Amino acid sequence: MAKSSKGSLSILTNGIMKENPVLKLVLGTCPSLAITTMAKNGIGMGIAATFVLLGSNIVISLIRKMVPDKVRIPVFITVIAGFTTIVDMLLHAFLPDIYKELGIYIPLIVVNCIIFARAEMFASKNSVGASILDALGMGAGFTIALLIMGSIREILGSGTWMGIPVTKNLFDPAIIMILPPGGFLAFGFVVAAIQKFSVLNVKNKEIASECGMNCPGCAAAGNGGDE
Amino acid sequence: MWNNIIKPTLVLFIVCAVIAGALAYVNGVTQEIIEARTQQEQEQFRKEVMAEADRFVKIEKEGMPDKIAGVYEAYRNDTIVGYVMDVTVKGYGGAMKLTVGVNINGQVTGVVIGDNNETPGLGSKAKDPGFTEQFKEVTTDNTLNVVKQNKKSADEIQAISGATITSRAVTGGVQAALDSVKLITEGGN
Amino acid sequence: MKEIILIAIAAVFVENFVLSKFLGICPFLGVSKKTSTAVGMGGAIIFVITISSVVTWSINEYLLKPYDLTYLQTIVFILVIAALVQLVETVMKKFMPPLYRALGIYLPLITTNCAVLGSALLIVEREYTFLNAVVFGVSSAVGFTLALVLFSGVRERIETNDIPTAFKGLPITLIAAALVSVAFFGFQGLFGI
Repeated sequence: MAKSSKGSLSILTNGIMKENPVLKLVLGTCPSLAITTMAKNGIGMGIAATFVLLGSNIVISLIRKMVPDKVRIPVFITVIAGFTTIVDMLLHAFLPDIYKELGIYIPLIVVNCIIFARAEMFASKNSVGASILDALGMGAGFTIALLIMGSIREILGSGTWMGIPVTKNLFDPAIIMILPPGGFLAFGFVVAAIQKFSVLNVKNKEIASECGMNCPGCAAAGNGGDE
Repeated sequence: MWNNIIKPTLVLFIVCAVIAGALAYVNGVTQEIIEARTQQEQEQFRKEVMAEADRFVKIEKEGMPDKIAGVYEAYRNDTIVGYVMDVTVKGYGGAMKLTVGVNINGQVTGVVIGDNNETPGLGSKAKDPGFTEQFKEVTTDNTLNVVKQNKKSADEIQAISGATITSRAVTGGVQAALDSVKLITEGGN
Repeated sequence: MKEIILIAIAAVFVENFVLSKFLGICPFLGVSKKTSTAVGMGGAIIFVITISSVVTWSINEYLLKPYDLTYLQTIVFILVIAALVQLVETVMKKFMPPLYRALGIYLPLITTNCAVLGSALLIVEREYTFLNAVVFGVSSAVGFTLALVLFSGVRERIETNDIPTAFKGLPITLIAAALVSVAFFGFQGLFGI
């Protein structure tokens, strides 16, 4: 992966549009479906994950030349788990409401494929500066995807957005949207919408189905789709 | 030897040690904040279950039922008006923290549910006044049991539909609180 | 005894890991195209979750809790799981080659599977006893397998259907998953759980 071919801006926007981790690469689907019952939760989880992503990308990029290949994976896991635990503790202390809402999915950030994949595919091969941009871009893409899903589910399912009632007299909320099936439905329709309007239609479908089953495969092989 | 075994192990060990150290530090800092906030919340719960009291004094009492985590005398103008108990019970999703107020006449003045991991939309409804208000008619003379159909007496607590385990846990907690008040009032003086 | 049965039924149906708690979605969406691969993945997960439940519970009970180190749960658990998967792979390769060949591809996928770490964390959060922890772990994994196998059947059917272009691939899979999830939602309130 040549560093010079990617300008700073393109690294940043890569994570938001072209390779949006949730909607294009289909990574990090577990939290995307689980906590998006409210738009606020989506933002909370997005920021938490971005923090972990930023921290782990920076550290891994810093020590990338000192880590022998053999222990690469345990080192990555330890770093990511460390930042995840820090985020967990910080949320518990300073944002207890969000902490209670996100619950068990905060520690599960450590197995969020997005973070491991970026560590393996970008941070371990690029400079700290580029890794920071990558983390911010991917984090933003993740947060935006969560915000979209959370908003759809909250508006249709509770009639509110960020807690503010919005559909008072228009229609009765469909509770199913904030229940598990609603998560699948929202995700399905959003991806369908994207596939319909995306110029890179065919190419993205391939990426979607491959990365969907290859999270550690991506990590181990370094370029996704080897196994 | 160096490159194959020692160096990798050393690097891994150093990384783990640094991270463990960082975690210990952050843990120390955040724990204090969390503790302080929990204390504040607890004080608020106590006021909620016994509104007539103006201050609470923690007392040590032996022989309390296991579930009782703390006992507080509730005072108003230097007279004891009742007792507030911190109760920990085992709900469906793990530990549940209750605050139960019982006045000196042996009647429950309020039940507040704090930290819990009950299922949203089901067990979490235990927090609703619709459920907790049931306990206000209860006194130390009652022996509580949970029923699924409509309740016919103060002894019966109607379970939350689809959350029997949670309902039973809370009821058990209130019972423990009542039993402990009985012990305090009949035991000492 | 009753408690164990309730835990098992809840884990498999009422609180199905995939369809209710959204744990293990990645393999669910990616692996479940054929029933045979679904069964293979499920088997591997049951195996790993059972062992990891025992190991993580023990470490938490005898090492983390007594020394006030519960904040290290996340990091210790995930490292244990990664090591476990590695160990299982090596042992299988050496002593059970045919089984390794059948499951082999799916084993590395299990480390970053939300379901394994998720079950370990839930066990600790719910303060299960050792026996309950094992029952919960196994049942959750069985529930996961059940969802996977059922869904592979649904997907095999979808393959031959006429689907609008925008929905081809992932979206129709998700919508099908939504329907299966609705079906499982009907289990709420079973046995008063």
